[in-house]
Amino acid sequence: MTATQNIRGEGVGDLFRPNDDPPVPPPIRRGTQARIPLKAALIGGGQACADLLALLGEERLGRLGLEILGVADPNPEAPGIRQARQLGIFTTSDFIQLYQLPGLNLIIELTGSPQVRERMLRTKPLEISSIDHRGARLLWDLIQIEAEKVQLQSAEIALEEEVRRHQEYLENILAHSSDMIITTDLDGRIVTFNPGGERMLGYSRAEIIGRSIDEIWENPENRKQLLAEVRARGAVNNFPADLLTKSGQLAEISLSLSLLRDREGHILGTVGISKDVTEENRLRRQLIENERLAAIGQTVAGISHCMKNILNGLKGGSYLVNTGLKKDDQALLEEGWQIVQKGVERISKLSLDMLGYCRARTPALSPVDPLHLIRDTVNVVDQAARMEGIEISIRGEEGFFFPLDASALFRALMNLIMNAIEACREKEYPPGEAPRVEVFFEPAESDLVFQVRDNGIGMDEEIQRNLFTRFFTTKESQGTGLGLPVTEKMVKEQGGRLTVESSPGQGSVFTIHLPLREKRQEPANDC
Amino acid sequence: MAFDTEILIVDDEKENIRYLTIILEENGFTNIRSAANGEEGLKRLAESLPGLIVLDIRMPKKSGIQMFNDLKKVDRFKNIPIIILTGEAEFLKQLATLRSFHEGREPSTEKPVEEILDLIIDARPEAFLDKPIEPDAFMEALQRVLTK
Repeated sequence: MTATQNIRGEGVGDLFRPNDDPPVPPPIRRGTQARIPLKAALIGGGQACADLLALLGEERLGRLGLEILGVADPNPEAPGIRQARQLGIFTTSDFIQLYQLPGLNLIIELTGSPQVRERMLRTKPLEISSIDHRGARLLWDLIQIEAEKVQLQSAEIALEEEVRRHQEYLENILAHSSDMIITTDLDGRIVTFNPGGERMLGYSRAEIIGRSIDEIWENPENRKQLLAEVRARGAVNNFPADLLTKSGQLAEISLSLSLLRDREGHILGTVGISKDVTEENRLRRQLIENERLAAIGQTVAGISHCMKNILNGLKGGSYLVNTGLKKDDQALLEEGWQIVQKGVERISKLSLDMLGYCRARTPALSPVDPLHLIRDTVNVVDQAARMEGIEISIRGEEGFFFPLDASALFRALMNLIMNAIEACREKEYPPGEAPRVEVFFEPAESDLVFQVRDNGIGMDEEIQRNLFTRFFTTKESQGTGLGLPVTEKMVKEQGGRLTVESSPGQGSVFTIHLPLREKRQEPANDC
Repeated sequence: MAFDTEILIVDDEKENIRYLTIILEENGFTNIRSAANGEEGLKRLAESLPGLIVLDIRMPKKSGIQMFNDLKKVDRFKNIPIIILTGEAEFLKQLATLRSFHEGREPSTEKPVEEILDLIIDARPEAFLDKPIEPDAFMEALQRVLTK
């Protein structure tokens, strides 16, 4: 059984094509006289004779049982005479000599001359038959027909040979392909199954041919979907699928499936080539997992970094307190205590920020007047900012209520305003320019827009790029680096987005867009 | 050991400068100066050469690293011993691990932090200290460096 035969020993072709005529032609039917071979001599060595001799030289015409023993022509250079000499056949210039040829039982008179014919009939022995030129012509035509048939047969045989070689070549492709190649019929039964398939699924050809292809699909529904696609488009490439091996394990494959058609275009079934991608997929999942772990590692490292700085502060403060106590130095003691308190504050802020970042929050909405909210937020920091010469102004219309998460928005605005104040602190203002922070609110077409604008130190491109990265801070040790990411998260949870524009030395603008329509957001929890 | 050796502390955190200053004073050192960032530090150096620099390097802003690299390049300054403070030992290890991972190398386990620092700075400091700083460890490193 070859790679492309089924269990019944039928080749690929047999299943899809009707039986061809066998190449061996049927035998010629002869009467009782037929067993006696014809041994003939030709009178007249012209071109007709030469042609006849050449034709009869064809092997297959040996079936005719016609042997030429001799040729007669007065002209020794006649084409037929020359041909006969080449073939080793007896030649003579006087046809009477032909009668001597042993076993001769037929004279074929080719000249067409009545005199020659009359002399031949007069002189030939009785037991030798004769055909005159008319009979010879009939013979000639029949031989022609036979020759044509023989030619056709040779051509057919050559074609068969060609087809067989091609088939062998294709079978070799199927046999040696490392991919799995399966063909099915219109009912979805497996017709061919190559060694690649045997290796991939563990089934032998004998076991699987004839079974339904659905049996090896983990989810046959997916194949139905795929088939619909294939019928619509003719072929589908690289379709990921899961197949069941003989041992029940899953083989992950990448399948290219197309319709199998005959020469007339009728659909015979399908042909699918499957690549085993189990290992590839495993490596990809491993890579993703590694990256996830690396990201977690980075988060833990970042938190650790924050903690270390805070701890250092606490340690320093405690050292000052102890030294102050030891030396009875009240000032030193108080200084130390301040530092400790600051450290405590920083730890609580870090904890809150971390919780804010990790906790899955669903926004609790209530009717809020954004201007009031802004005013409440600014009031918390207004005094302190003014003492440093930083002016905070508010702009917007009041009296409008929108469904908002007040506490989340409060924290977001607070964060942005604190950042703005810090940016003003860091800048050296030229004479004539005063530090200013402006908080602005406006309902736009489909959004609510909140803006916090400052004319502080601004940010260069590198800082802007890293702005929402966790633990990125420009505030050195004081910044936790979680403020903006937390703010962004809170804004996103309300279905909004946070954007920034900035220019180094000039200032920055942070804008929160909140959609007016109530948007349900999947709470994200990525700690 | 000369207790009047000038010691320059470069650290943007005022509290940390106070902390280290008190430790030094408690141990008899009298000439302590400070700067809040790399730029100020260089100004101090222009005014007088310290016998030791205590330098905080910090991410993401690299002014401490920049200062360190700059100092080690300049003839006048490169022989001043430097103690580096960093809270980033763990962070640096993670950074090195991530870098190895992205470069397709096996991350090296347990590299000494000095070697990791080599990835970031151009020369080795005379000593480095991990935060949070222990007063004893600080003094021990300082004495080691100054008596070399």
